[in-house]
Parts: sequence; structure tokens; C-alpha cells
Amino acid sequence: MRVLVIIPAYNEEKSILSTVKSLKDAKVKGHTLDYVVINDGSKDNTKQVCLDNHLNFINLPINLGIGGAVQTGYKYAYYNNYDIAIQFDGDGQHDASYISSLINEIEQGNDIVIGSRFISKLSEFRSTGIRRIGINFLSFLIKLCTGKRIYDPTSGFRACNTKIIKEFVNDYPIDYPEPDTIVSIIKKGYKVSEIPVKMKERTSGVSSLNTNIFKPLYYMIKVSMAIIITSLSTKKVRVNNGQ
Amino acid sequence: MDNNLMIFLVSICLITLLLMYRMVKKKKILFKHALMWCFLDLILLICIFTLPYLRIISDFIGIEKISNMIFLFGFLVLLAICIGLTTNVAEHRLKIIKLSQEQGILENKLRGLEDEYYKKNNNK
Repeated sequence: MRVLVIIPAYNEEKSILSTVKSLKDAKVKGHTLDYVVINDGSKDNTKQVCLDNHLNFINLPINLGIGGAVQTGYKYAYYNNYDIAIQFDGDGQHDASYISSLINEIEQGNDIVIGSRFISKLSEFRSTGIRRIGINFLSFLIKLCTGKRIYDPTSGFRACNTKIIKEFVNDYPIDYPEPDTIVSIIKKGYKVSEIPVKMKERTSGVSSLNTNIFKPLYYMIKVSMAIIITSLSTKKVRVNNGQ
Repeated sequence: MDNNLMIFLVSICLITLLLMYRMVKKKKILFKHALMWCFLDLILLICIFTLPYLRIISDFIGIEKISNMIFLFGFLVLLAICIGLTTNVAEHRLKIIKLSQEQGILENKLRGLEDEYYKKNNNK
């Protein structure tokens, strides 16, 4: 299978090379693993670093936000006929050794697989108490709207098959898209699964949610509203597996 | 409604109409947006010249002064225009995102073709 790793990068000049190197070192038997860096209008030298090191990258002329950047990657995967697309952060948080586990889950018939920090004690990632409460609340809200428990709804480490790639090419939320898309995917009857992964603290840069105290509050309100609206507006579909 | 207020409102409507005409002529505003503002003007003018009928409506809603009702109508139309403009902004944002994405993907393709071309030429 042809697998594309989508690496959204905003001001990641310090970590982007090590991220790409970790992907090149990752062992994925029986599959072709390609990558594409999406430079989301970075203000630092991310573009220059990509050019100097001959990385495969897409340069967005303006900052579209995480949703717009990731959707660009899905479009690239769709146009180039990839079988699986994997989202992978450019800040060094994700561990490339779990890519083969994500691919295995897709091969077993799941449409989208989420690398979860919270279904095992593997992760070195230490989230703050407030952040954890927020994630638990979103998880509860998704369970309420869809009936399915997703333990790490904000994880940006995800793999999906061609059906989901096509869905994301047609429609993808602009900001904070992860929980929102999970709801619409479950509602449309696709199979979603989670596997435990190890995540590290980011090696450089600052999370967009840590810039001021109002951001997390805005994030929670916006994402909760988006989940509810998506849940109400997406028609529930029952899919018979194997058809 | 007293005469002074009536003259004031009619003058505002006429000035706005004139302003819209000039802006459309100089292509500083889209014709569809100018039409929207003209529509607001028209509603205001109709209100001003159909005062006796408006009395029935204002009595029904419970607004004592007709002038207050005219301002309320004006405010409601402005609100509708604001919602229309917000929708417009959202549409444009989506279009800009799509354009930027397609441009980025094309640039990536072009870079790939350039690399291939240089590699071929160097091998020759």
C-alpha cells in the first residue's frame, strides 16, 4: 500500500528536520511510506529549511490554520492516489515507530485510527489537570452525541483510508478540527478505532492553546458547539461492513 | 411624524441613493451590494409616505411613536444586511483557503518537475 504522512508545520524550523528524519528511519514492511510537509505560512525559516534539505513540501502562501493545512495534505493524498494518509505533527510529539501499528489497524478494516495518549500508560506526555478535564469533557460529549467513547479526541496522530481521505477532501473544519471530524465520521457510519501510542513533549515551539488564558476557554466553547452542531446536522448512516 | 424629521429622513435616503450611484459608477462597490442599500432606502421611503397605514401596525405591535417603528424597521434591515455580509465573508474565506491549497499543491508539482528536468539535463 502507498502511505502518505502529512506533516503540518507552522514555525517548526527547529524540529521539522528531526521529524522527517524519524519518519525516514521508521520501518514499515510491505508499504511505501512517503511524506509531505505542509508549511502553513510560517513566519520563521521553515520554508527555507525545507528548500535547503530538499524535503517534499507544500508551501501555503498564507496561514490557513491547522484544518486548512491538514486538508491540503489530504488533497495531495487524493490527487496522488495514496491508499492511506497519516497525520503526524511537525513538532516532534509523535513517535514514528507507531506508524506500522496504525497501518495494521487500517488493514484490519477500520476507516480511521487514532493514536491515543490515554488508553495506556505508555505516553510520556504529561498534560495539565485543566487540559485533561477538557479532553475528558470532549470525550464525554462525543459519547453523548455518537454513542462511542473516544479516549483521545484531540489527538493529531491519525491514519485513514481512501474513503475518509475523500470525505476530508470535500469537507474539513478550519480550526481545531480533530473532535469535530470524529463526530461526523462516526455519524456517517465509518469504523473508528484507537490504539495506544507514546507521545513526547514538543521539542520546540509553543502550542497554539498556550498563548493566553482565553484560548483554552475559547477552544472548549468552540469545539463543544462544533461537536453539537455537527452531530445534529450529520445524518446517521448504518454501514454494513464488508459491503 | 413631524415635518422636520420627515425632511431629514427623505434627505438621508436621497443622499444615500446618490452616494450608491457614484460608488457603482466608480466601481468602488459591487452592484449587488449597492442594490441592498437601495432596498433599505426604499423601505424607509415607503414607510415615510405610508404613515397612516403604519399607524395600524405600530398600534398592533404596541409602539407609541411611528418614528420609533421606522427606526426599528431600519435597524432590522441593517441586521439582515450584516448577516448577509457575514455570510459573504465566510464564502470568501473558504474560496481563499481553496485557492491557497491548490496553489501550494501546484507549486509542489512544479518543483518536482523542475527537479526532474535538472536531473535529466545533468545526466546528459
